[in-house]
Amino acid sequence: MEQPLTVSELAELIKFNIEGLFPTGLWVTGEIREWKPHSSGHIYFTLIDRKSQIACIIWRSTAATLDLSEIEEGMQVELFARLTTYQRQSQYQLIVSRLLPKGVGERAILFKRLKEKLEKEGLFNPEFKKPIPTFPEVIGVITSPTGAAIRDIINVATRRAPHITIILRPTIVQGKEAARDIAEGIKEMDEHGGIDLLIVGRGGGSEEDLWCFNEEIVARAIFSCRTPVISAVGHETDFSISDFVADVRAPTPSAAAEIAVPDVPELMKKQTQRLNSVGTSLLAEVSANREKLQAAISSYGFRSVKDRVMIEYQTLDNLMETATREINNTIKSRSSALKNLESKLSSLSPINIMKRGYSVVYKQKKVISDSLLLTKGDTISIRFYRGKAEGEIKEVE
Amino acid sequence: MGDLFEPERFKKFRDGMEYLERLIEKLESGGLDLDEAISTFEEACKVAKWCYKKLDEAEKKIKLLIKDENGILTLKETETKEN
Repeated sequence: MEQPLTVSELAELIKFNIEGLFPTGLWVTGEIREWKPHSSGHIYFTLIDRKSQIACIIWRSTAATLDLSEIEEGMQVELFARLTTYQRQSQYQLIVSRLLPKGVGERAILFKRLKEKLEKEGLFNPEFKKPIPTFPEVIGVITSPTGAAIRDIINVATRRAPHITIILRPTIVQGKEAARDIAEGIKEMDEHGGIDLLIVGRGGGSEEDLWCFNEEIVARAIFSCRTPVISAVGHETDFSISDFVADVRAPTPSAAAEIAVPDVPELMKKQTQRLNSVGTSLLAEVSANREKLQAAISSYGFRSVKDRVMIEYQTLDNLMETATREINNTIKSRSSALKNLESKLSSLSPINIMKRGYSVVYKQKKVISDSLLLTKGDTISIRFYRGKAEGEIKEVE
Repeated sequence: MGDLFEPERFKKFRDGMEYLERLIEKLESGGLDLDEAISTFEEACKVAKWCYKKLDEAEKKIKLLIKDENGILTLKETETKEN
């Protein structure tokens, strides 16, 4: 019989060999059971699959460096650990150094790789970010027709801007076909034209559900879209590749609608208030002007001018009165003088003289007052007080 | 003033909103004499009224962009059930 090993020696040997199997550690996948954070800070649990199970430990110092907030009983996980044994019971166990929900590890690597690649190509550069129009009239939405996202977007957008039109391009937003469908939707919307901006996204879900927004085909479709794009994927804490490429990242679909359209009723209220305050100050200015005018009218200067006018009126009235009187007097005295003159004039009239026997001699309608103007044989007319006569000159003396 | 408000000129709501903003800024900046300020103010009131009217007239328009059987993109009116 060989020299028997002590139990401790055996346990030591098992440990040595077991640890030698994966000297640098290994990735293991399975389901979490009996998740027991101990008061000491260490966490004990069991990883199982359909046939087997293995004990796992996360030491307190490691637990502090891991994000374990999402880890829960029954979850499929992937973990990186060192295989060893617990000598006291010779039970093998995994000392965990990394623990991720299943798929997360692989996706994290894909995400990081794609992000670096697109960043290097310049797809995230600020110079490619298009401005979001201030007052869009037509908004394109690329999401599931039955999801929470479209409902939230319609509610928020139509409340804030009742005049807008929303065009939905229905797409699948999870699963293998989603990325291609979303990318096509973006292209179709862009080519359709007449759309002021696009909202691309979906409501919250698991990282796997949101994964389509981390695919290159979607990122490239957003980048080549000429219409401004707002990405709205999941919740505030979810970041996707789409968010980096889009012109604006909205934390949620509701927030995307808020970014997309201004609160028009609110804005109109504000504009009305501004108008009111301008109107009030205009009214004040008008009434100040009115007061100034009133003051000017009742001022001494204005009054004195008015008074002076009244004095002038009075003077004028007096003058007129005097003038009228004077004229009347003048007319009276003149009219008696006129009668005298008339009688004098009538005594001077040639008719009266001719009455006394004088006659007037005309030659060719000219009065002849000198015999030198006549020659023998001239025809003359003679005008008497009563009647006319023609004659011929026989001799001039 | 060739700048007077003609509703026909504004096909889109945003034109009205932008014009209103310009008028209010002009009024707030001072600089105008009283006559100009009053006519600008009247103008701004008209535009604001037009904007309100546009909002009141607006009805929810939700359309679907889908491919018909020939693969051609078409817009389809929808009836949205709003609560």
